[in-house]
Amino acid sequence: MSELEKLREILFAKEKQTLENIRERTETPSTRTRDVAEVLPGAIGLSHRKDPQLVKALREPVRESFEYAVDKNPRAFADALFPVIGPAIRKSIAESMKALVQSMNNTMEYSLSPKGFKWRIEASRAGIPLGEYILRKTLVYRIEQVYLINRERGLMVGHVQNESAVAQDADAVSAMFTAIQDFVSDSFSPDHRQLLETADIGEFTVWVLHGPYSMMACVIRGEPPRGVRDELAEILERINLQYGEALEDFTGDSDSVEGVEDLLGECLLLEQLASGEDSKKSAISPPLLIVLLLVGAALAWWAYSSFQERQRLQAFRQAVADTPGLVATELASDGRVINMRGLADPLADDLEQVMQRAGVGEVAVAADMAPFQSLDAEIILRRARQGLKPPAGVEFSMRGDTLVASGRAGAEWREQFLSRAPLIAGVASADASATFVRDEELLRQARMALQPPAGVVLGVEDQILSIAGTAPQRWIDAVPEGLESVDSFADIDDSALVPSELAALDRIVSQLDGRTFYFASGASLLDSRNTALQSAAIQLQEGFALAELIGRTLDVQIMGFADGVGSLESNREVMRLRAEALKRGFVAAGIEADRISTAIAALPDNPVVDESMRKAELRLELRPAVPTP
Amino acid sequence: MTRISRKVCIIGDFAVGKTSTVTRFVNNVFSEKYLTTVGVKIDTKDLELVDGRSLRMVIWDIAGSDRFSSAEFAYMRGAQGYLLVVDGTRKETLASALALRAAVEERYGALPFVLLLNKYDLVDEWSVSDAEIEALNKQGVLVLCTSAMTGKCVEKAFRDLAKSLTGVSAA
Repeated sequence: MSELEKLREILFAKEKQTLENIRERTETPSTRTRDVAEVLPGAIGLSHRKDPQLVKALREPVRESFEYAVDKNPRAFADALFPVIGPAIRKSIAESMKALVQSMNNTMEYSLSPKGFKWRIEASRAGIPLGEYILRKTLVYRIEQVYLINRERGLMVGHVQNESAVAQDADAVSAMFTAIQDFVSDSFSPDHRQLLETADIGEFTVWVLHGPYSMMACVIRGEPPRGVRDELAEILERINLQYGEALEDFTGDSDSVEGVEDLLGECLLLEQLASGEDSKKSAISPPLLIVLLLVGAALAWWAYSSFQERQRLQAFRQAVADTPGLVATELASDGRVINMRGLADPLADDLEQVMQRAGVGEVAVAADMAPFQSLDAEIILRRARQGLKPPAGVEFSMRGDTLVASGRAGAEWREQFLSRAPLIAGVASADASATFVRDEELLRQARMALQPPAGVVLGVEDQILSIAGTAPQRWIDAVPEGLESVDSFADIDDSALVPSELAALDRIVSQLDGRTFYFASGASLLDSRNTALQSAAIQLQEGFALAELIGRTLDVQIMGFADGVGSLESNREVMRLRAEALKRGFVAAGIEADRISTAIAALPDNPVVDESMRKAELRLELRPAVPTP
Repeated sequence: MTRISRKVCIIGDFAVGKTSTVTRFVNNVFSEKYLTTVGVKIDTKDLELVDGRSLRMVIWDIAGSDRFSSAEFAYMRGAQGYLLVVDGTRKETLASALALRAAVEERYGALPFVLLLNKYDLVDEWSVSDAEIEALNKQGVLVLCTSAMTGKCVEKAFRDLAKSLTGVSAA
């Protein structure tokens, strides 16, 4: 190493090392990458703040990267867009529908009305399409234009307007508005600080909202409610929040406030439609409402009629189903007439009753019914009642296919019932057990009802009432009436029942018949004080009374006899006299003369003298009552 | 497309032809009565720049008077350039214009401007000497002789001012 090199080594060793480090850093890619990575975020931020060149430079690469990414992996972008695209579409559809309804409303409301014709003429004069004119007339308010103006320079920062709005040169208007703002402030504000906030020009209102560096002038058609100003202020606040720095430094470059017009556009969405004199607009105009109401009423009437028809048909169907003996195979309604085909038992209720039960009185029923025999229990019962004619107090019921009779019935009817009931359609067997009453119960009932006197014995066997013994005729006569309150008997046997009066009469007849009264020889006189005669007369009197009481006839004859001494003639005469004498005795004792007849006994041709024949005899015969002609 | 706008004022003495000079070359939005009522009238002038951007000059035509009132000065606030108009047949208007320039610069700082020596069509009555123009040029003032009647150099004045405002020539 030369001296010079040594000297250089001594003097520049440190710098050499530094140079070496720098060379290594600049030539080694990984080191360079690390270095750039450290400063890149800061460099991008600084460059972006300084001027828009970075954005311009990155625009194309970013666009291409984006396209590449979408091309390679569209799913990721679809997923990312999904939450956004739904609401956007819904909002778009809602807006379209709103516009459509509004258009329909306006057309319906104004196309044929006097007001509509007036507006048509006015729109024609003004050279404005009718729809637009109607919209203007029917708006309570609508924000037509919004200017965002830089206050310092009067330069327009952004401007949006409705499609229908007629706008001047927005930059010129912004500047002029600023000038006027200053002019008004200078002219009318004592301290030149108050700012113009509202201006009314014909049908327009201009609202000016002031931010720190800009003002937002909203040109509004109509009269907006106060609350709208708050909504506009809120939008201005958001603009200031997002673009505050750009607004402060605004020199007229639109790049710095890119997107501000989207925010301004939100102002245009604020609008309200008028509804006649009301500020609250109903969603549907009156004519359309009337049409809709008419359509609705027609639909409601139709629906109600159909419903009623269905209800009626259903009610009738149910009533038919509930009616024994009716079967509907087809049932349909054409609104006025219910058409029915089916089967009907002759004993079933007629259709008018069915309709009455169904409550379909106003509807006619056209029925084509074929006859049949129903096996419905109710119809079987009707058939049984018709055919068996049960006595009062007997009820029929069905137990399965057995016809059951219950109540009081005579044995004869019961026999008929048991034999004829199974012949009735639907009845397989008959049961009359419920029509029987036990003998003991019947006897008890009979005793209670008849109160039989002593000497009368009641008995019931196999439902047959037997009455035996003697009883006064009056009691016997009252028996049928007394049994009316007692359950029916199969039969009543009163053959052994004898009236007590008849018994007494028989006794008298047996005692008096053949009673002999003796006379002296040849005598025909009887002692009137004869006690036997007196006693017999009393018995006869009693006999006549008893016979009359029981409706019998008591024949009394006195037969005269003779002892055979003397001639036949004389004997006969004695016989007659003796019979007459005895009759006179009885008449004298109180017997009516015509109640007693007299007769003489037959004499043999050669009579034998017999002293015991000096007599007269009573002959009594009880005859049944002579029927009254 | 990038759109830029700039606030430009036209100032000068009374009756130097401020309004009539520019009126043929701009978008007249408002009537001249604003000048007498509000004291200012706004026009716009669109120019395409060579870099593809479009420039809209918002021109504040401020009612002229011998001396700016405070209100008129207020209209100058925020201006990014101006056209200083002088009546070439009235020499005193040049002095007034320079005084106005000084006042503006004092209040708002140095702004790009173009000085228009107007009524060049009345060259017989011309009272501003070439030496004076030369002197102004030497001061770096861009001076153009214009004619509202013929339209001479008016468009150029706008184009020159546009270049001063944006640093980019008009296409």
